[in-house]
Amino acid sequence: MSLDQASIWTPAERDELQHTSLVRHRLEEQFRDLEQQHEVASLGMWIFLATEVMFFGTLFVGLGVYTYMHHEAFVKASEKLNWLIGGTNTVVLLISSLMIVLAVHSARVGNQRHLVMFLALTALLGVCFLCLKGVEYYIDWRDNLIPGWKFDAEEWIQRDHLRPEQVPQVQLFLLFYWTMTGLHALHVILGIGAVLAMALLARRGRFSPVYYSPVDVTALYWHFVDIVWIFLLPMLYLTGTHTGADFHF
Amino acid sequence: MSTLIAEPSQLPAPAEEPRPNYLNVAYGLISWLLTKDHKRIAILYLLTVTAMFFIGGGAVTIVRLNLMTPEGGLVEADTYNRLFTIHGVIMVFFFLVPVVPTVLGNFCIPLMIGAKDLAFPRINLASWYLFVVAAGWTLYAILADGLDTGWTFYTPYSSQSTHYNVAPALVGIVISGFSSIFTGLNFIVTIHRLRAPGLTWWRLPIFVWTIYATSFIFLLAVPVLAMALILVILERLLRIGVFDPALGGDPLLFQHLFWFYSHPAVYIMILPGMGVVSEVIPCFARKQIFGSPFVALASFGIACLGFLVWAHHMFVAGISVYSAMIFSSLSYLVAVPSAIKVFNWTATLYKGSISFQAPMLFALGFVCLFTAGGLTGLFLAALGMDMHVHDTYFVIAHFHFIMVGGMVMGYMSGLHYWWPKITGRLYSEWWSKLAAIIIFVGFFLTFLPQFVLGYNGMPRRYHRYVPEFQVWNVLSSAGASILGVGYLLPLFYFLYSFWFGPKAGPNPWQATGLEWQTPSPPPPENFDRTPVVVRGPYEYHLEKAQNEP
Amino acid sequence: MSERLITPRSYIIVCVILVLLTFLTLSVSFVHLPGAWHIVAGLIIGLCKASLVVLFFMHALVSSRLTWIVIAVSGFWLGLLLVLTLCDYLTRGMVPFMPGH
Repeated sequence: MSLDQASIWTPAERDELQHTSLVRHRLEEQFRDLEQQHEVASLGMWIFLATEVMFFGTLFVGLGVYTYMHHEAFVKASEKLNWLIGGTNTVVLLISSLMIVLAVHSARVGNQRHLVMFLALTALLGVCFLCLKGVEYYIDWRDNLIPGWKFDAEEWIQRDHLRPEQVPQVQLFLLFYWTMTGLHALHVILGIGAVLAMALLARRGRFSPVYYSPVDVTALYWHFVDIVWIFLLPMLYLTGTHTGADFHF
Repeated sequence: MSTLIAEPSQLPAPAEEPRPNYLNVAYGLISWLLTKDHKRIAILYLLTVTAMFFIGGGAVTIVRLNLMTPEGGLVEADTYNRLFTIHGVIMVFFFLVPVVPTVLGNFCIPLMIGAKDLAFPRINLASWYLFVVAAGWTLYAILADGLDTGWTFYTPYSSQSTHYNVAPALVGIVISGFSSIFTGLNFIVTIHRLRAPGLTWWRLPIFVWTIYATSFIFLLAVPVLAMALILVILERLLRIGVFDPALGGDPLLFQHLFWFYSHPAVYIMILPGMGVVSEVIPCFARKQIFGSPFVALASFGIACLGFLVWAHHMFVAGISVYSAMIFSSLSYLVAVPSAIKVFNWTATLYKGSISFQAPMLFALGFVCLFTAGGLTGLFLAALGMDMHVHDTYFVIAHFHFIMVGGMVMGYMSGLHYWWPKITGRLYSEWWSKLAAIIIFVGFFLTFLPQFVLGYNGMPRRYHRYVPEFQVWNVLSSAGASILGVGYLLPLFYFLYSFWFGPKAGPNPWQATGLEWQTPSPPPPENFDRTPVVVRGPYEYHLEKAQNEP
Repeated sequence: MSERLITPRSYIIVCVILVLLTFLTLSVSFVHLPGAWHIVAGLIIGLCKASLVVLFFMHALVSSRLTWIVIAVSGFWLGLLLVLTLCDYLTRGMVPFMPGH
């Protein structure tokens, strides 16, 4: 089972495959050839990701503005978040990104078995992320970190020595935490759905070295979801200083 | 007749045997509702946005009737607030923002670049469905329960104080935002990757450039609005939110995020109109557009600079004086590319052979009214002046000069210009010129008095006013009724022409441009063979050279 | 579908670097840094990680110029939103708001 490029098709072989009837019907009529169709699909997904950058970015801007305005309260609140689960989840997503890029590579070289395997592993790691997230959310509930639902103002004054007017600011931080991680988790769920759909199609032999743009495009989306988490980690979990005492489950 | 296509054999044969065109290639509601043809989707949008236009217009009719007398009284204050909110929300989000890109852009862009369709036809159809769902949902939300925040939804009123159900209406607008994003994405990818051979960027018609610039704004600005509105929705639903001062939140942050979209949105609204005018003026002056590369770059410049000025809507809201000064300076800067375009249109007219058909009348009206409105924008960009006229009728007059005098006229110009291509029929020349003149006169009468009112201090969004303002208000309302007649006329002569009008050939205006090289109405696949482009888009001067002895 | 290819070996190496950078981020958070330096450090490391993902996993390194432009524009525009908004918040109270003076 080698992953190297020994089995890559030459351009001539790809051209020949492109014109066989097996793949020709995947070509939409407004395109010249499958290559243009793939280019266009990729460009479309990159541009969609640009809109997602602005979409998530708005939340980051809000978080940034309020972190500037209420630095002390936000840092204190940030220290209560579970950095261990957050960090583990980061590694989980990074490995899942590796899995999906290896899936794209397998599609490109025509290795259908590997393609299905790597897509399945990506989805599995995505589910693993969601499970860890669920555990984390349970711990947050247990630790009274849900403003408007389960929150103890006194705790922050007594335990963390905040002034009474800073306690609402902690709630503001937590609102951002729940909104941003919740929205991210929603994107992960949609991503897992897309990856599983690709795996099913791959299993039915839908993709070939000249037609795999849906896989490519799904991978781009998955990487973006990973990148959002790469920025969520420092901005939400790591704005303060952690100590060994923070380690808890 | 100019030849944009290299091989004359590519021109379609004279229409002797009936050829299927996009209208009659398939009949039945399903063939329309499941179409992937960009031309049919453009017609679907035309029907939807026209309906929204008249609903928004109906709301403001009641507003202007109420303003005939100083004490108001036609409707209660609360109802009045709901009416101007309906007018603003519908006209901005469901008419002005989508109209030219989705109707004229959808129809013309693939034709203008020599493509068979847009890059993502199914996403195009999905975009229309999202628009219809959004429009229906928002209309229901606004009419059933109500919304009185104005189209700007300022917090904390929208997120906390108002007793109306803000969340459903905002959901509708977020959905319409996704419709816009899909449309913009489609255009950008299409224009980059599906151009015919030989069609370099500098040979593209200006209309394509402006739609590209508009799509650029869609993609970068709409997501920010969507998120800002989602945060307000969450605040309404969870009763705890990020703009709540009690939590240390800042209501002004909402305004920053809202105007980050809504200022570029006004450029979304005007750029396509500018594109239309850039097509119409060269055609009816029989002259190449003056400084075409500059007009093209100015379109993109407007799109980019338009993102840097949003806080000029917030000068009195409580932003810092330093940032107010910065935004004021940047606001002056954004006038420059607009001015370049106006100068270039004017220079195009100079020594041209001008004919005054309806599209040209509307286009000239656009140039005149847009310039006037734009100049008043410079007044508003000045910090000191804005202190005096902010939230008065001066602002209302300013943006209506640009939106109605500019944009709606631009849309009318485009509709009159491309109607023969879209339907294959010619409309009544006399009635269309009459409509143009009625609209122009009605417009002036409606909105010029509002500058006077605003400068003298009449606030906006008030259902009553002091008695000395009555004369101007009555003039304005009278003008509005004339304007209404002017807008209703095209409904009649366009519909009449659709069934009874004389057939238009492929190129009734003798215009250049790839869209005029196919039959009217175009066949479903647009072109028999992909055209090859060898010349620029406005080669009217070549025709002149050919005709001279 | 460019002809240039990033090998699976490269992908694995990049992933290892990304995981190491994650450990670095977490370790830095245990060092006592004054004020906003944690955020600065976190963002810098985050940018490095994101760049690696974009360049290698998303194949930007072997993609067209247009892809580069899309990436640059989206990052720049988010920066615009952030900077010009912060411009207000950072300068509030510097010049008193006194219309008429």
